[in-house]
Amino acid sequence: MKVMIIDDSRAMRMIITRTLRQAGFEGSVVEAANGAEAFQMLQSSQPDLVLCDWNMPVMSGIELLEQITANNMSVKLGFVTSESSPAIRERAKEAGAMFLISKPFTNEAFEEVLQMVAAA
Amino acid sequence: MTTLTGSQTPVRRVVPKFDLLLNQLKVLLEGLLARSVTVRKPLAKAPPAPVSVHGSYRGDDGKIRAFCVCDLPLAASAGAALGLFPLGSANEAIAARELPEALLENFREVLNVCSRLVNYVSDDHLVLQDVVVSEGGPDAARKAPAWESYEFEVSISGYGTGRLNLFIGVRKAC
Repeated sequence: MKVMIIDDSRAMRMIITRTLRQAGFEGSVVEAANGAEAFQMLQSSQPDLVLCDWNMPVMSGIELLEQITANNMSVKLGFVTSESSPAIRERAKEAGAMFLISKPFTNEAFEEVLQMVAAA
Repeated sequence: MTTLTGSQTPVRRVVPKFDLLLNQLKVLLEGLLARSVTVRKPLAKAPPAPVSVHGSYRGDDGKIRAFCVCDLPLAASAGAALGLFPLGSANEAIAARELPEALLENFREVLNVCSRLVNYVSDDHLVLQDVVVSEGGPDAARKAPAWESYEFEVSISGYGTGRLNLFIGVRKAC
């Protein structure tokens, strides 16, 4: 399995990678610092799962998801974000996100996600 | 984790209370840093901080609605703890009165997650706007009636202790 982690914080990308490993993930990881960079990488990287921040410079997470949908791309994407309001969760759901994990997160949250993707 | 397939329980806004914020801050920091964190009301007023880190939070209208101001010991400790840097890296920063780029970048993420804290007590949807290192402590202007303020003493297990000041703009005065 290949996971793409999109977050403008290098520290957070490192923490998500570390948490994925602690959750038992043994696959490969590719990283992007914002939605635009990620969109350029999606075709060549072909990740099985995208973990995406919400608020980022250049292109936000929700803008990336809208771009993916507009281009009829099949990508499993979930948000990992400090956003947690019902309005944001609703917007994520409407846009087609698989899940939303609020920061700070636990190993268990990622275990659930990995199981969900493996079962899909 | 939320799968976004079920209905969400409505969140009821409550009147900001110090103890409520204190507990939320502890939960956020322990979750983010994956270690024990003690948060309490300071027993005494702290001397002016020589260096502090200011995070500003803007609403959807672009206006700054909240600030989180941390002294250097807390910023260095939290930044080091987040990146699993040795304690010495935080102590060196505190002694030098300067926050290295790596610790600042890590601490920015702490302030980003603290947006959940300010959103908890604000009527606006707030996101982290800027992070600035500056000489001195919280701006005296933030102590004006237009800002509700809360001060916490935060101890991070295995690292250090410092102060965190939270300033939430009162809607009508902003």
